Amino acid sequence: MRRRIKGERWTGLLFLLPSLVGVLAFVLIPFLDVIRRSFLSAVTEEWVGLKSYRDVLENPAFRLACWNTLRFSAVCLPALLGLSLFVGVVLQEKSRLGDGLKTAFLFPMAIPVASIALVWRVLFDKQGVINGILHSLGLSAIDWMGSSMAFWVLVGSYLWKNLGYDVVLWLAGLSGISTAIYEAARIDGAGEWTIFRRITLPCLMPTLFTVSVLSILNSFKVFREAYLVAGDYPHRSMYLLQHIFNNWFRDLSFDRMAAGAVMTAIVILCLIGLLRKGFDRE
Amino acid sequence: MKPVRVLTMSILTGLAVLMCAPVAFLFAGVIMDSGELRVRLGPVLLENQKGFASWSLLPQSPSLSHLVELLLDSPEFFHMFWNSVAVVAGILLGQLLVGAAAAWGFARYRFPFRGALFTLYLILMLMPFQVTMLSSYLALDRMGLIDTLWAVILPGAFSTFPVFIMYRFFRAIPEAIIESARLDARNAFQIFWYIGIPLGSAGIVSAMVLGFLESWNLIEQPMAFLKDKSLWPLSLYLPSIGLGNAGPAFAGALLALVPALLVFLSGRDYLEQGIVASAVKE
Amino acid sequence: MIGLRTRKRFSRVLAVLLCMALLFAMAGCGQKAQESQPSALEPEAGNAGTEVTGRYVETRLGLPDTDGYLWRLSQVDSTLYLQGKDGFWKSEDDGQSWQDYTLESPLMKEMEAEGFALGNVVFGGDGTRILPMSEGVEDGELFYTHTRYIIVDRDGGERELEVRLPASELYVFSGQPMDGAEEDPEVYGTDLNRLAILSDGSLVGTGLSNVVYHVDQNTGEVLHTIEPDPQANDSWVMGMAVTPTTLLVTTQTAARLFDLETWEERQDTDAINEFILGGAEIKDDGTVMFPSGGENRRYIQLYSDGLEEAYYFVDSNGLYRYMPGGVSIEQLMDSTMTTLSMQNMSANYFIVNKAHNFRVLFSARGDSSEDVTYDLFGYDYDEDALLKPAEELKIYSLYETEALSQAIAVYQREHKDILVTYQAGITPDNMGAVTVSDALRQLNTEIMADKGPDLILMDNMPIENYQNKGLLMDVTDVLEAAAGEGELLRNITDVYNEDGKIFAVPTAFSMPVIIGDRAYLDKITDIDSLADTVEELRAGNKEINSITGYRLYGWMMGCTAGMMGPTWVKNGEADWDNIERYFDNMKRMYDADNGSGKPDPEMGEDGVQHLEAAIWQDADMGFGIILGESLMELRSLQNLEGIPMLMNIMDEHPEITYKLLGNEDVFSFDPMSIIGVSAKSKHPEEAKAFLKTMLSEEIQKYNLNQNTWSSIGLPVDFSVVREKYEDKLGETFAAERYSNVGEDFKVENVTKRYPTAEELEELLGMMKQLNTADLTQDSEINDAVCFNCYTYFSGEKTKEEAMQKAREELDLYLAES
Repeated sequence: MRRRIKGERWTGLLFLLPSLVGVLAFVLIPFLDVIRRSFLSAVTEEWVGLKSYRDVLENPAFRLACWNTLRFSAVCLPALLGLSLFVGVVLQEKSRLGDGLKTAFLFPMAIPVASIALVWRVLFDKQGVINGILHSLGLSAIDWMGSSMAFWVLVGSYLWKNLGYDVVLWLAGLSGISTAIYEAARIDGAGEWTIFRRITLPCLMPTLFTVSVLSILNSFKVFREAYLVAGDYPHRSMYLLQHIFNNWFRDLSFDRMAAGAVMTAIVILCLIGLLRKGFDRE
Repeated sequence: MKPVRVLTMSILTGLAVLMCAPVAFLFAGVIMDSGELRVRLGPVLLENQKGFASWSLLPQSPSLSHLVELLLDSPEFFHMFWNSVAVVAGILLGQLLVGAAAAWGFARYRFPFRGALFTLYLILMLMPFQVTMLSSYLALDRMGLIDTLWAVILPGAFSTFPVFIMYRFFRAIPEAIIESARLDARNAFQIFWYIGIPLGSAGIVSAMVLGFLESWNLIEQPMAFLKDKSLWPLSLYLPSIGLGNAGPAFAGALLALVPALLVFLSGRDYLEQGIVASAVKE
Repeated sequence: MIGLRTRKRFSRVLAVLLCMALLFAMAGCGQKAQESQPSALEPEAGNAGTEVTGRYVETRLGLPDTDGYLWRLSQVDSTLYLQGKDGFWKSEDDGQSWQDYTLESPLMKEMEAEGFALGNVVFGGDGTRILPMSEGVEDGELFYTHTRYIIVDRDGGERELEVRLPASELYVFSGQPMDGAEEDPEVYGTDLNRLAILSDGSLVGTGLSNVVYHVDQNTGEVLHTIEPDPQANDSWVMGMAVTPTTLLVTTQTAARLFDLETWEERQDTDAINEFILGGAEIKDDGTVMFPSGGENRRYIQLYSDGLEEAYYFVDSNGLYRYMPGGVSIEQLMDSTMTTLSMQNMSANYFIVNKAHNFRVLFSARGDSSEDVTYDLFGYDYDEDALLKPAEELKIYSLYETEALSQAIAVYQREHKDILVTYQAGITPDNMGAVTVSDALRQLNTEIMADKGPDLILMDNMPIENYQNKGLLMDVTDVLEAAAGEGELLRNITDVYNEDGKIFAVPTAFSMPVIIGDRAYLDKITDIDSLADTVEELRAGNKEINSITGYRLYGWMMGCTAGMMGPTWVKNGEADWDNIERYFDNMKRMYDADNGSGKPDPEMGEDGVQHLEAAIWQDADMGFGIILGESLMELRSLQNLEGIPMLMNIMDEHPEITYKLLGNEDVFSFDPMSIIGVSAKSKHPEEAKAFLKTMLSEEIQKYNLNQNTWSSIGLPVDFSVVREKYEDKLGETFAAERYSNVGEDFKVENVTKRYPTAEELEELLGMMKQLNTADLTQDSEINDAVCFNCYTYFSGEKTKEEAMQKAREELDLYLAES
């Protein structure tokens, strides 16, 4: 039990203060402005109430973007979390190869976005390298970026880029589990799988929360590559929330953009709430 | 070694090779001469060219001309390099000072609204840039920061992302150590400085490394807030790559990659040490 | 074995060291690079002790009423002299007004009676005048000029001087001097060009061979000779002037300074040499590469009054002063807001008076080489004039363009208290990094932050968007005012209107026309009949290269897309029937056009499609039909330069005619140079005044006179078209026509004819028929349909696939709104 020292509550806030001031100025206030704009008309800033919200919800492009974003997250996150956990567990044992692999996995993160976009283009273009290989094997070329395969290219790119990131985080979490518990379990005759299910996983819950949140964050970042390669209007299956926000901005529809953003924020809020309930055991 | 392990390690090695492939791609591209670049990338980058793009890790006629051209002949490249350095240094410094303190505050103290503030930080972290772009611009404009590097540095320095990462690691520090420090009648700040930071160093370094990668690759913020081209960082130097500038673009990408890699390699060891350290302190 | 720990530490340290090494290395390079980086576009140091006020101000001065050429501007004390083909004038008020001036010279009259003609009179700083008198001499087969100089001193005393130059300087028209003539003391040159009077009265000038001679003013003997620099790239003397102690000789790429006491060449001329070189590069083999585009100075003139130790220069970038031996050239004024920077103006002569104010004589080329107009501008130093006007009028365009530069220069000249700045979203510099959407987002951000432009050139921008969101101001009042002054095509200028308010004004346009035989032209009334006709014609003419004149259809789509674009989207919904119709017809035309069986023409390295003979001379409308390359020509007419060719062709082939290409009752045009005034502008009156300038006669006329390569569009003020042809209605003239036939470059002589009054009315009638703005401003729709259409008719995709893609892209885009 922690003894409360008098005045301690405010100490915490004191540590937080510099950050809070900055966040207020540079992050929160703009966000509040966005909320404000969701109730005003785009340029002339007259009160329109919930009109923008209605417009956005009824907008077919927005619905498509939402659907795609959800689909993307639902596919990517479990895949990434599972894969990276697997890799993390395997690499847990120290070895030179393991170290090398860890570094290798982190490479994709260091590569500038524009270069990734170029690689993407060269690989997946209709006349790109992969189609070239398929052609030489006698198979027909696939229009990667121009068909629903585009979605999977996006998923692949996301996994490729963020695998190492998550692996490192898992490793950090795994290293926090004391070896003593493992020893005890092994002495008790538990098998690998049981150890994993009963000990590793529960201890990893807080890490799972971190990793999930960060992976969601990164799933939003995949927009950058997508935009550099496919522009404002990619294939339908790749059309994400950020595409439509981007386009609304270009079209001066700040009101809709704001309304869409607010709704997205609410959804994320709920998501985080759920995650915390599930994983963030104190 | 167990055969299962051999299998898994080989799979992982295969994955790792996949991860590193683009770096090799870049490197090969740098030492290719323009003629070969045209032949290989033409089908993708030029219109009306038939056939498929191809690549090879060993160029036919290696030449360092592009690299040399970039290093010796392009003052803008270095100018932008230094802009990037300035931006990243500013952001990391800010994140370190402000973010670490905030993370500590969240992690070790209870105070009113703690949960709400933390959730707020999470949401703000997850907002895509497009949404707040206009509002941030207006806020920064009112502060007179537009078209200065501060417009990119300050919002980045107060980002809530590193807070989140460091939080987790600060939380993992065992209470016992803090208690004993308190018994030694150390004040709150000293505890933070002499115990929190060293023990949470894994988290801090992770946050720094990730922060570095993020700020090194910033694209939307500089483009939106910096009008003066002479302030642009390196990430904006690598434009959409066409055949005309493919050679220098590759060289530029490689050169932009190098600092990121170096930071990794340096940071990785700290990371590991930190992980080991926190594991040992049981 | 080194322990694991140590090894780890080692590798860590190594990594950090590498990092630092790389950073320092880059630092070294960076520093060097920064130092050697050419300095920015700022003009060099202004006047010593530059304060916020004090700059040269441009004013327009007067000129005598004459039609002939103007040759030379000179000054003596405070009087300006102007010599031209048709007379001599002087001005006592610094150029405001001019009076006739007669050269009082009995000797001149005498010599004129003998058959001598007066050349360019040279005025010396002390009032001496030198009158070159030349006559042609026939000596057997030899025909040469003989020049004698009349020297008139300040008080009017005259004497004659004959200069004796080496025989090589004999100005020969035809024939050859006999052998041994060089030695013959009776054979000598007498012509000095670029004559200048030194302070002691002696003369310097150049001969034919660019040798500079110093001649005694009493005996005419050569005192000193300066040979062209053997190492120099070109020794052609461009300018020569003297100060009391020095002589400056400039070529196109170098400058040489001579001391007048010793007649030795001075070596401290780095600064002036660099200035004359002006950014050009001299390669190892001696050829010179001049900088391209706007950076290349279009002219440079030199002047010194001979009494001050300073040389003055005028070029398209500004006014300059050079003190002999100085380490830099001082820029006294930057040309950006003045006539010096205008594309069509060239400075011919200038003088600098005792107050160090400039008087510059400009010439502007008109339609033909006889059509030269002159202007005199003064540049006076005003101590109180603000270095920069306090107010700023910002103009923005999405793509960088020259279309506004003339208007900006004209406007700036009339409105000196507001500074016009122009900025583009996408420039050649950032074209890779910034997409159209990025640029628009940036623009929108600035507009919302109240830092947006006052005027927007809305070409390629989604005009309706800006209109609907209330970002554009109603400019009906400007149009009403301009309409009163010219013959505005209101169907074009008013096309972007809503509820009687006009939000954006196209100040130029292009219209789709089709040229061909009347018999089938009459049948073409929409795209279906166009495709029908093309197919029919192909069936009847298997051999001809192409029917419409196009083989590579990307270009052809420009025409038909303009014509059909308005039918594709109605009220925010895509009209898929019409889009399919477009797809079908383009396919038919493509197949028919390429049905000759000849292989696809190749796109050459220069981006030009090489057919048997390149028919892509926009200046030669209809010629492709005459050559037998095609049976019709579809054009987007941006320029009237090709009309004379077409008129002549129509004369010689009466069955050929031309008409507007429309789709049923929709006649669309491509609006260009569309100006919108921002509703948030802080200078609405000035912005509207700029719009007025764009519609003014001067600018509309300037647009019309552009040739096809730099075309800005057809003028919306028809009165300038009338004016252009009013003196020449129906006249024929000879011209040359250039073509590439495979590898050969052919020049042929052709006859062309200016249109008659009726033909002009016909043209006007066509222009008035235009009733819809095409869709090219909304590139999303255009791209979605055209790009996919291309994949279909070029055979890459089936119709279903192509339409499917178009559907996806277009629906997505339309759904967003």
